[in-house]
Amino acid sequence: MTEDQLERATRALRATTDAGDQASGEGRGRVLHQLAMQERARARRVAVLVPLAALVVTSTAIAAATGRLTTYWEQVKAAVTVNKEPSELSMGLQEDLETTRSRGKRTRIAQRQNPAVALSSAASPEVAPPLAAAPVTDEPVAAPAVAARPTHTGQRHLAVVQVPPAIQAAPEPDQDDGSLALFRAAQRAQFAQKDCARALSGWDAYLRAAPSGALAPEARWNRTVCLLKLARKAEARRALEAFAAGAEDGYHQNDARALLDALDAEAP
Amino acid sequence: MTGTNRSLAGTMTIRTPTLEATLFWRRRIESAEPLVERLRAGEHAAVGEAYDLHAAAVRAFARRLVGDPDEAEDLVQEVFVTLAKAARRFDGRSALRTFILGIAVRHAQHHVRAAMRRRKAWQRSAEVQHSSIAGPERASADLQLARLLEIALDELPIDQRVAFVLCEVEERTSAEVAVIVDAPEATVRTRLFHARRKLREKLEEMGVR
Repeated sequence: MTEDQLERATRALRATTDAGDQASGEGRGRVLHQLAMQERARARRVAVLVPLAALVVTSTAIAAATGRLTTYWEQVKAAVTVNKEPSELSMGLQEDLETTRSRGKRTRIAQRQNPAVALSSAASPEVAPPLAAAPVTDEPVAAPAVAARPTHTGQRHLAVVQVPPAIQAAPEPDQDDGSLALFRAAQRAQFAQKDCARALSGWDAYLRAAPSGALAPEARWNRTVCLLKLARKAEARRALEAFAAGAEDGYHQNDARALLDALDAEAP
Repeated sequence: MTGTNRSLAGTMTIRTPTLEATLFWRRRIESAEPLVERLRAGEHAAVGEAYDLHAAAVRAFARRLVGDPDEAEDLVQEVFVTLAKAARRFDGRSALRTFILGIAVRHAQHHVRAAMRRRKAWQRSAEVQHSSIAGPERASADLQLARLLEIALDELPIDQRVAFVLCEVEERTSAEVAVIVDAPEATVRTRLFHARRKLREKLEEMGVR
């Protein structure tokens, strides 16, 4: 083939496609219509997304202002984190938690039917057995770091207890190893071994080691519960009065008041 | 704006651009700078004006590159819809038309493929007779030659196809084509060289001698 034939073909292609602007008006209209549609779609997206973003920002700001953001964040983190090797303590707490959940409902029903149950229920809100009938069964209570806000009602208390065990068992950053070991030993004695006497001495040892530690309010409350279970009512009353007066920033204040009322009602 | 001469028979109209028309379009093209600013600002009316100025050139290029009027029209529409967003990154170093043709090149690939599929289907059903171009009617032969060149273009990679259409069919300089396709000038010339060689071979295979 000669070069001339390719050039001829090229010229022919140029000539046949030269009349290029026949559809200008129609095409222009289509382009502008499509642009207008895109603009409308963009406006619709903005109308939906901006209020949504504002809602998220506002609710986050409110949560941060009321101090609940950390709690929510921890709950979300716990929900998405798969804890494959929970510690021994975590597993113990998990078992206790399950027991607590199943018993809690029965306790509330029993309270409605028999006010005498209230004493034991208030001492350990999720526990059914009455104080006089049998040794009070201990149940785990959330550590203060997790239960940042004081629990005033049984319902709130239950909500705190439902925080996943991985968070409950997390060591406090400001606790040195010695005092934390004491705390864990006392906790194990009270909740796992159900030995209130040993738990009481354990709590005393912990409070001597870390009287102003982050877990001290929790230790003092558990110690009070131990005193009640050991029927050392005078000491228990003094400790409860301190809680009821708000000595621990309102921590277990309502529970302490309920226990004091129950003690008063029980007294001859 | 255009002078119209009617043939004696009155059946054919020859349109020749007058001086006024030429000056009118020159002025509109020269006033493209504020148009670019309006395009950057996202003004839809500016897209309409850009369409008025450059759609004919884009359509001609699209028809030559794609080889199918419907696909070419879709490509033109796509180019100007894209222009509304793409104008923000237009730095003004080249002419607006060059920039728009660059958009056309970037969006052409799937239109070219669609047109190729359509052409192949048409070829199968119509059984084009390659050897019949040496007929008495010169115009008809040229038309057929153009169709054969379109079919031969389908055998080229898209880069070589674009280079051939822009350099040979549209008669643009390799420097201008380099800007349009965003490639070095030497690359454009290499693509063109290979395109010519392959087209010659293909046309010979088709019986064009």
